[in-house]
Amino acid sequence: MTEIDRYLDQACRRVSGPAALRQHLRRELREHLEESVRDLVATGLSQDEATRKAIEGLGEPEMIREGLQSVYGQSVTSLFIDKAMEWKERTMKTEWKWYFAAQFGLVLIIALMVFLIGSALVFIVPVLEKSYSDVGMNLPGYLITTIEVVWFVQHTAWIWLIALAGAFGLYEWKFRSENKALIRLTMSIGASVLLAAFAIWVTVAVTIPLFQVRYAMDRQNESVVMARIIGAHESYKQLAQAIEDEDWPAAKESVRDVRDAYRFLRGTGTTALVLAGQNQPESSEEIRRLTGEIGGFSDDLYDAIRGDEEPSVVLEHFTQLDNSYSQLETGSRFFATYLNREVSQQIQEEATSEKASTTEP
Amino acid sequence: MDTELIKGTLSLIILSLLSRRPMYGYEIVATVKEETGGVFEWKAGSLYPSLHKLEKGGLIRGQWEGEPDSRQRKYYHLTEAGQAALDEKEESWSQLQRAISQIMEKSNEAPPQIG
Repeated sequence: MTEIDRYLDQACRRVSGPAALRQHLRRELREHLEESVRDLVATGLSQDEATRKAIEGLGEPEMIREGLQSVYGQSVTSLFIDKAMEWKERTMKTEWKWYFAAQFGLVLIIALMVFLIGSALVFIVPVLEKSYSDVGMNLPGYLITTIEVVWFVQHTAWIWLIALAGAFGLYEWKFRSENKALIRLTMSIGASVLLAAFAIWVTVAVTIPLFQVRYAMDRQNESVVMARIIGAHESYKQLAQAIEDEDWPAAKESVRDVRDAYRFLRGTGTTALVLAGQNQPESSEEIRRLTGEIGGFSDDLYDAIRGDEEPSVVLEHFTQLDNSYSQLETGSRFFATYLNREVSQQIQEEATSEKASTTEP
Repeated sequence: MDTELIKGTLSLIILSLLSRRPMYGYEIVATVKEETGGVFEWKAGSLYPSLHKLEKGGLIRGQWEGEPDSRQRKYYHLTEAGQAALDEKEESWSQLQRAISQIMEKSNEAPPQIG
């Protein structure tokens, strides 16, 4: 950028009106300066000295700018660009360093945004889908819309990139302006801002459901938790029987049910309260530990059966699981109540059956 | 030269020069400097806002002129409204000039009272 260009930038910016007006003003002032330089060079001055003197003769650019602003008004939107230009002139003496730093920074920002969006989709969305499924809820509509939009952009990315490359090539080839580099930088900033806004939208769209499902999991209806505990207990009894009978397919199915149930239960805050009983909060920690162990050991047992391990290995895993499960049965007030009810029911059934056999003739 | 005195006469000077013939900005500055013997040496930066103000007010009209393949300049032409405004300003200037001259004459006649 020449000294005359810099002068014209300062004199004409922030003048309100269409860009054509500012171009017109710049052209007129440029003509004045160039004629002045020619006349001064004709008197024997060097080009640089003549330029300096011509600019001096025109006066301070702020004076021209204020005068033009009093005629045409002041542009508010370009105020920010003006402040950026002033900061740039104040802090960066070497132009190429400024543009390089700015472009490099923008590339980093764009890369970070793409990384954030990709991470959200690859890592967080599957977790969300599973968690929502576990608590029996549907994914929020705005999250589904977000996923669909990102999917669309991802699958049409090549079209966007070609269009962007074409537009960039056309701009570099055809566009002529004294502020070409600055306009390019401004467009890059605009694109970064849009991408950042999209990344923020995606981040918020996947973060809010995380809190919602966590809250839902912690507030799972007690009856739902009880039903899962009882279901898991029935599966566990079947598992124990299948292990005794060495019925590995049945064992695999049962341990999978136990595993899935305890994966759900250990992630639910209500589980410990239900198992411990509302009056015994001090045992909740122990119960949380045991539910975690049961989930882990059932996982190991499932893997062992699926992997066709030796029966001795399978039995070893089952023994670990059984130890933890027995401790839970013993330490849980819920199990105590439930098992007593089971035993009472069994006794009652046996009594009924005995009575029926003694009354027969 | 007291620049405050010049400021109020800028539009009068511009209209007066353009009443002779159309001129462009640089030419106006050079003409004023030459005809006043260097007494009026404008910072041309104050000229262009004035030119644009007069153009916006319809008193002058600017257009780019010159051969297509040579340098083009923006020449300013006096409009009819500009001519009428010039006549008015010249009348006001004459009155002002007479009034100030009368005061200064009487001041020069009276003995100085410096205290």
